Amino acid sequence: MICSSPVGIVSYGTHIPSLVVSLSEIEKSHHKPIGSVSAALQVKQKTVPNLDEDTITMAYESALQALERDPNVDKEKIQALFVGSESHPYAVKPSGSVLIEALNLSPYIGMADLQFACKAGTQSLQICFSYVLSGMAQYALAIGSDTAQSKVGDVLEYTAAAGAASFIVGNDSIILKLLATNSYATDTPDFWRRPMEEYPQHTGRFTGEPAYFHHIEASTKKILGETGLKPSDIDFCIFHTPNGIFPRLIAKKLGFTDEQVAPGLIVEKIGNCYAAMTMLALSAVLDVAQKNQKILLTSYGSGAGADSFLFETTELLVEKRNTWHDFVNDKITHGKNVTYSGYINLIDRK
Amino acid sequence: MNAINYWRQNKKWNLCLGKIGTVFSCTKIYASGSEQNNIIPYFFCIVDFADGGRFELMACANEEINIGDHVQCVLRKIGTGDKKNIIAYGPKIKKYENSQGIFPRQSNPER
Amino acid sequence: MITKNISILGSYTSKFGELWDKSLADLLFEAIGGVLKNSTVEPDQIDAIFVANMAAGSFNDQRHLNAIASQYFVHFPPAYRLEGACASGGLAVESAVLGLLSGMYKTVLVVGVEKMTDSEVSKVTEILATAANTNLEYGATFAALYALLTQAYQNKFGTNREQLSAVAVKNHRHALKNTNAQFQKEITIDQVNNSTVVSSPLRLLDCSPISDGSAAVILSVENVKNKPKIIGFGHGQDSIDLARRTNLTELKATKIAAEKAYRMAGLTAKDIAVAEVHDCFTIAEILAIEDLGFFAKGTGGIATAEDKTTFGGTIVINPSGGLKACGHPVGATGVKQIANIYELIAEDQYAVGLTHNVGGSGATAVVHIITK
Repeated sequence: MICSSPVGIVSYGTHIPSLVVSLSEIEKSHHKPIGSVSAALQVKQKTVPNLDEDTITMAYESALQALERDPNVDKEKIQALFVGSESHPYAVKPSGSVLIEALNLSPYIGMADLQFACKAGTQSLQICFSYVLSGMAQYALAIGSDTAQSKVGDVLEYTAAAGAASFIVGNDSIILKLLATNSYATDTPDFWRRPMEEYPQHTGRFTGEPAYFHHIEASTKKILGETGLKPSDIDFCIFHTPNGIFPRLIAKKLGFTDEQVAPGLIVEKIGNCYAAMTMLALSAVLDVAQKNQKILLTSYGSGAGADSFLFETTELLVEKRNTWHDFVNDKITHGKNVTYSGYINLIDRK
Repeated sequence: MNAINYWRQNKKWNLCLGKIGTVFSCTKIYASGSEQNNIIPYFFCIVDFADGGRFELMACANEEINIGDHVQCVLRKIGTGDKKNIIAYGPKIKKYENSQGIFPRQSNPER
Repeated sequence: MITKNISILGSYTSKFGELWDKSLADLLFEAIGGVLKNSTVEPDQIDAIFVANMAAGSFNDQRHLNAIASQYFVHFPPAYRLEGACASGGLAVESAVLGLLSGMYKTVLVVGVEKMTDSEVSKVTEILATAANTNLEYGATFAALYALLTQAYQNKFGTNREQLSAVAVKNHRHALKNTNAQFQKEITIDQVNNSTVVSSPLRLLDCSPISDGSAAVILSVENVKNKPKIIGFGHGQDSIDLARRTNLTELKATKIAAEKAYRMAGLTAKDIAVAEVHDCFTIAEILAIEDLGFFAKGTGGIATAEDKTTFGGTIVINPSGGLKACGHPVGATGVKQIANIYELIAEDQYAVGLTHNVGGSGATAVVHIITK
């Protein structure tokens, strides 16, 4: 869908837990040669949520930053809130309800939680765009937040991380204009978690070609085809990062360069934050992008589906950013290392 | 925490959530009640907020707090309950020191 | 001035400690039976009973203690339960005095009891923390609140670690003479200084223990010759939560209670020779001896370290060992303080004594003055 009316992102915020565990610590505990898995996955460390953090608290902190960055956003006019996660703390009771109270939003709000694995955050974003475009909301808040679960000893343990990103969507004072968006979804069982099960199951190598690569390729080709743009017309491309290898491979396959994909590869330093991942990567890109630059983003959610967005930055992004602090890389830099036993202790004590 | 008491309390979150303040006094608790057993040791602080309010709040898990620290009030889990209970969320403080070294304006003087 | 004679006709204090073989009811009846035996009062002369207890509902799943106390007597006198956290005992004594002054009663029995040690420590910590504002001070423990007071006091007056420790050392030394004390064991400054941190800067040996125990006194408007009398009492309140207090280096409730008690008794702090004060934590005794007017603000720690609050000093503070060494079965403490001072005055060891009982982190304070 090509966007014919003004809509876009007005402000954004992130939360990255301050604790990190290095992959070398995990490799040691799994009796793997140090550096072997890290090199294969192109991930060096991952974030670890603190004892009193969860999807809701991280979502709050990311939304708090988004609101602080644009005090002109009237909270009473945030009329939609969608929270995407695969680790909502409640099976029944929405994460969004806690956030309405915590952020002191108006109770006159359309709100729900979404789950679609790692694309639940971007699906929330797409829904928020539609609320604003339709006139049902002046502002809408889209949040992706996750504390990813992985069984001790499983390969997912190397990358399952935690983080959150929030985007305030509106049709005025836009810092990132939405040019087009589409989605693609099929019933592809690459990764799932049944109720009452603590950890997900995955189908190993099947999660690659028929799942991740197929869906991202299909969705991205669709948006490029509709807009008539070529990879060389794009300044930044962001693909979902379950690790550091997959996005590089799909970028190359689709005709993008390393330079276009590199700014979004924060997975190397924070791991895979699941529903927050591509939104965090977009935030990292927005922290450095200049005006009038095009950004292509395609997320991927297991089960499976992909959301694609084509954006263009505005002059207002650069102007507003000059007054901000605590960018994504600042938060990454301030991370404190924990040992593997410290990391396990944090999980056990929750 | 009783679910209905949680509901009464969440109406008061906006009194301090998001606000920035200065630590007036703090203590590191090593022996707690059962609701906070999983996060000991933790800091408990008296905080003066920039808008003049004074509150007594727990610090976020694993935060090291000193008197005079600039802090921000954020939402965190404030107690553990069993897996059937409502999750007790509430205000806690964490250090606020933005990357450009910009501190909030001073809170009220010591009383 | 107090308008009627309020004589203390007898007292009893149980052993304080970890009393596995004693239930809540056992302790309650032990104190009632004990005080009757230690007086010349006949059971049917008891017009009313005032029971002090903080948390039997939580510790022992038992409420309605007034009914259990009344049941001791065949004539089932009217009975009341008073609760003001750790000030429950002081409040019970004050209420009994008011009952006598009102003319409703001639002779009443006050009994304080607490059975704490059946619960495990984190549960006890949680229950005791309900003496704070459980919403505005959520996550605090009792030790944490007094630690915050200690921080504020140390920041203003520079009181050092040794001065805090001196309170605990003194009270343990005093308790060597008290066979009912939970701890009859000397400790050193170094031992206190190096004990485990509970809530910085307070350490384990800065804190009064978890205890079981009971105490009782009989009060009467009868003017019995040579029996000590309560000649003044005062009750002060302050904000339950620290954030709302105007000054964290004093307990305003204590100052209010003391001022009222001195005025009623026609005395000043200088007239007091001995006092049982509320040393739930070492800082609490330092604050108490200043707020009661015995020492200037900021000098309580130094005075303690210089032995001015022990035998042979300016005033004897906590001759029983205080809460720290004698023990602190919460509801019993305020009554035990009265019992202790009564016994010292009755034996002519001192002329005028004072008791000081505090609830929570200082939201409630009750002071009584006793003389012959």
